[in-house]
Amino acid sequence: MTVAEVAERIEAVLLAHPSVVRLGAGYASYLPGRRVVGVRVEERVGVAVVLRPGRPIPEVVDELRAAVAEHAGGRPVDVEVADLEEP
Amino acid sequence: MANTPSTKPETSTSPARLADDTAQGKTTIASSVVQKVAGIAAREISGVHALGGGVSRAFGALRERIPGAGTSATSGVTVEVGEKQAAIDLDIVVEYGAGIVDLARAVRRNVITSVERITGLEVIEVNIAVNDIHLPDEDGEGAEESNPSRVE
Repeated sequence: MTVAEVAERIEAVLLAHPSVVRLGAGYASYLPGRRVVGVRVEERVGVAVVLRPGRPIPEVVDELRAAVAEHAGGRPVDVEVADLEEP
Repeated sequence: MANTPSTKPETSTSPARLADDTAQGKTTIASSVVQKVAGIAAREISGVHALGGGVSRAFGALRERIPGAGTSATSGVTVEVGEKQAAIDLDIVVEYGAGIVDLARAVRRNVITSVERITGLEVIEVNIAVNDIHLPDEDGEGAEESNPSRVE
């Protein structure tokens, strides 16, 4: 799987999670033709998310990490909660 | 991933699950997240009219239009966030009639509970400054009711 495919799959699983509003800025994967904001795939995977308030953040982060790890190919997954959506 | 549960004890007494740098990766929570959670929790308490000092309220409308300057949800809330702990300073405006000592205690309790539950950080202190007291007709609310026509 190429880095581009990994980044796009990670973006898809993050956006599919009900607590994720959008991916946060800060870094991005620059792919041919597009970029995936909030996802970085190098020797580690980094994701930045903006969450919906309500649920405990550590729980949500554990779920996100588990979901992302399936596509991360054994790389550690760093999760940054960049912001909460305004209620 | 099979060993995830064993490496993360789910005890409520250890809020130090944050920023844990394990083989699976580390977690960081931006300080604006803690600010928003604390601001929402403080506003939930009845008797809190608004958050923010005189200056931050005066410029609140302007600040919301400046990218990165914070929003109304974070006005009046200052946080210091470490890897496992957070310290929170609140500037609040209370409603006239509220007992300030009891109100401050309730705000502090709700902020600590919410921030610890939602972010998992241990809150070491919540400093509350009561900047102003809001009088019922200060904003012109109820101006009509207070000057009803005396004759029909």
